[in-house]
Amino acid sequence: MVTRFYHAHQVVPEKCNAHMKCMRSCPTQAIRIRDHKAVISEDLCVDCGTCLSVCPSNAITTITDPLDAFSHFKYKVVVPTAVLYSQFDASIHPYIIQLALKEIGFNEVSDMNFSTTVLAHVLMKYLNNYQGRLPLISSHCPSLLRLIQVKYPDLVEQIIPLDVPREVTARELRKQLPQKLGLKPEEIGIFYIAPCPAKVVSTRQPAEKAKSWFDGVVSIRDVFSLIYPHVLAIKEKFDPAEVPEDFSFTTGWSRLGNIIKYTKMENWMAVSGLSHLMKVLDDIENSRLRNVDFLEAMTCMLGCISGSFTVENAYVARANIIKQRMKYETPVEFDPVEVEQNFEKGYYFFENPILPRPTKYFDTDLETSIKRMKERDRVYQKLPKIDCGCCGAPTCLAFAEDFVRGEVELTDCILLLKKTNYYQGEDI
Amino acid sequence: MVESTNLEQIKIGKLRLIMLMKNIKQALEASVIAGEEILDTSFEHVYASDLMSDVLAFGKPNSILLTGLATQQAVISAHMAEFKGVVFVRGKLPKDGSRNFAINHQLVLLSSSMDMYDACIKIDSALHKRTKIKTTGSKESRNEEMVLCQEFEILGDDFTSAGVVSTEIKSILKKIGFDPKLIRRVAISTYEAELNVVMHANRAKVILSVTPYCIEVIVDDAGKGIPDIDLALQAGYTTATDEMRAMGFGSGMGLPNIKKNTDQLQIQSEVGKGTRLECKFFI
Repeated sequence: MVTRFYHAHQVVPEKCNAHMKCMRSCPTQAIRIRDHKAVISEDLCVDCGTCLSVCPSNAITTITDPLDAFSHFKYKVVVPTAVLYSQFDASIHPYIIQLALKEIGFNEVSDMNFSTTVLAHVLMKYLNNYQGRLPLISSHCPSLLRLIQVKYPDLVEQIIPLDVPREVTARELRKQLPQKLGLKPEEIGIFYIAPCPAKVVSTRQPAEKAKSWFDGVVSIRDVFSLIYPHVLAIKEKFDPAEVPEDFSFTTGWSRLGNIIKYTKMENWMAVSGLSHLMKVLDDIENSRLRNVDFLEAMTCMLGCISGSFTVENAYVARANIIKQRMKYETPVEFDPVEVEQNFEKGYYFFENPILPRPTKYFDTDLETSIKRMKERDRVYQKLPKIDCGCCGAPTCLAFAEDFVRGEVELTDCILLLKKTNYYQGEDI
Repeated sequence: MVESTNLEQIKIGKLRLIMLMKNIKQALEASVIAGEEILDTSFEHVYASDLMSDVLAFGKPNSILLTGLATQQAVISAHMAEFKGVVFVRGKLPKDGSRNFAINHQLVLLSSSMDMYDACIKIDSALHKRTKIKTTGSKESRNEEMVLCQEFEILGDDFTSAGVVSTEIKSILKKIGFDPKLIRRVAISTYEAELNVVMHANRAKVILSVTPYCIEVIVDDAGKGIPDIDLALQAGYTTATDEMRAMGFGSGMGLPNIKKNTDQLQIQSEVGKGTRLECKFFI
């Protein structure tokens, strides 16, 4: 069975000038330059979004929903990621941002406060009852899930099978709203404002369920430019007394370390950034990480606040989040008995288990793969090993692998050509 | 006039200069004077010269000779230098004596209307195309051995590099496509062995051999050796220093953990000389 994997970004061939920036920076080596254009491997890409931010010609575009695509819904609810608030200075009350979202056409703004608080509680409960292999790995970064599925297939069973705040929020809304508003379920549109392409992918093709609870995803970048003038205008005449009494604000799980802060657990570790994360995952596979029960992991440096859809510098966003938390955060009340009952019923769990998605580098047949691996090493020994990238592969080793798969010719390595006097007698 | 070109053979993998007489005939639009029936023979080098003493001095066996000297001398020299054939350039034709000599001595004689320079370039570019075709195929030859063998080096006392070899081995096994559970066992065992080397030995050689039926990791160190292997295999027994334990190592689980994760473990050790671990994992 061949499954195609959906990705939220693609290369626009007309714009691509083969600068190789994306190829060199791709953490899973999913990009090759073929015929002077970047090509992304569907199997290897984990939607981290690194290539988006490094491309000098903006040739890698993301596929998000345009805002006007939702006009056919009667009632539109938007669930902004907590990262959206961090894009604004702490002097701006989060409520202003919610008002601005209503200005651009959403009927309701719903936060994830309740879900994050409840899930933090549920997470502790799950950890306390868990008997299996440690550490457990957080599940809310979709790029991390894909990284584990692709590169660390053996670790999928250590991913916490709890659903993520955004999905739990949308599910609650779906359950409550039709009754509350007296509308048919299909008349209500629920949208997510995403900080990164991975979240777009995870709503379009979730790893853990058949279909997401969201109807569409927009990027922070698109929303920001629309709401910014409104935010400034509302701020001018804003009176803090206008904030409704039931308004609550938390900074969610958007920043690295927040889960740990909300759950108050003991043996934890928080990692962000793909290269660091891969090192830690390697250590977990080698069973080198002992004495760690829980790993909060995000592929973006510092957490979602540096997602590739954000507009603000991640460090400024981090400072904003910390200030906002001190200024505006209010604890969320919930009924622990009800939550625990739901937990026992399996309400907060993923619908389907996360399955490995190991990459087939060579053949499926072991014998051929071993032969090819041997061949790879022989070829690699002959290569210059300087990873110049001129052949269109990020490293000499990757080039050797491409060669044994029959995708390239050795003559694509210019240094090898030079060494063998290949061009003798030809015009250059 | 002496021109010479020497197309070096690139001896890597499947990229090998494979060129036959008939390819030359085609490339140079040459007519065949002798050896029509042996046009399928291959050659390895090309030598172009009009000076026969140079051919005898520098020509390599299994070459072909490009020359403008249409005398019997040229054919005899080519035979002496163990060449496979002669191409006469500028449309020259040798006499009958040369033809008979060539037929008797299994030489191919060709004649092309190109001049020496053009002929050399044509051969070079024909080779270009030829190697491209040869390198794109992905069929492996059948009699190639199925054992993958790789050697790694571990240095003692280098805690920062512990894990490098096991990560490398893991990445090789993942790419081959073994079962993740099996890879995990191999990775854990290798990592523990690596740690043992770092803690207790000066250096070690790690040999990974992979077949479709078995993965074997041999860790051969030059260290202080294990006086009592049975004792070392007991969980919790350790000779690590407090300093090592402060770094989170040396809990006495190394060898027991290796034993738990391998299908077959052999330990040979001599005090003062070193230890050799042979870990086998069956597929």
